[in-house]
Amino acid sequence: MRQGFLLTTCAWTIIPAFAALPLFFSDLDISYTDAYFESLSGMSTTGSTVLAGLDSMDPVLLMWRAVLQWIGGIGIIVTAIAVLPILRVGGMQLFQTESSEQSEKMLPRASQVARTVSLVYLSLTIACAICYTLAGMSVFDALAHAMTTIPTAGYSTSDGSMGAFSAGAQWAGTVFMISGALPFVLYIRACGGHFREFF
Amino acid sequence: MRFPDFVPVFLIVGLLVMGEAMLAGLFALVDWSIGAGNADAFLLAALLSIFVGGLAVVSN
Repeated sequence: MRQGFLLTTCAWTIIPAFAALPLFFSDLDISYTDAYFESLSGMSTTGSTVLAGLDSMDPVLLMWRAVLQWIGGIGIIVTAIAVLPILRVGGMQLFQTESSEQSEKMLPRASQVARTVSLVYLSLTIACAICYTLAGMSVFDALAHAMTTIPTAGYSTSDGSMGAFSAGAQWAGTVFMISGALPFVLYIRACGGHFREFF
Repeated sequence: MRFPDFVPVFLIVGLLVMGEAMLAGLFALVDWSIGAGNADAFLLAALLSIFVGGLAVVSN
């Protein structure tokens, strides 16, 4: 269990330190402190930003920010859970340390939990991107915003944030923020026929 | 905590950093292909990450 705490702490401080490097080396001309803040804010799904001029920014950097939030949303630790059983370290204990979901052991293996949660997360993101596209966003904007909506994080590709897009996109965002905020265990159970647990 | 207990932590964090490095490498490729101008930043970040992450893994 203590290893779980150590790994969680190390993962949430060290990974953003390296994820900040592209922002630091880019033509944004920001300090490493700003880059680390941006990266940590993204991976922790805080959503605060030190960057301005997003509308004219390199789209790859915008997508990098979105991906950081998307990865942060699913949790670095869920990725680690897939690795831990190989190393014969208890992954389920770590899952309980990391996640706010206080559910009982709903699936037999930690790796199976990680796989199922990842599948739900990916499905929600794709559905959200489709809804955004139907609401008038470009495919790039839809994908970037979907990757920040499901983890309820908030990075945008525009300085105007969601205010720069249509009302339909804002409604879609509202619905998928609620969807992303629900415990993913409920989706897994709903797939098993337990729809009433949603309410 | 005894020293050997730390080893899997270093190993896993090293692997995660290397995973991030591969992602940065992919972004470097995309940036270079569209000519956005930050491919070198992603590539440098990827190289640094893979070096440090690799050290952590190899030290295991």
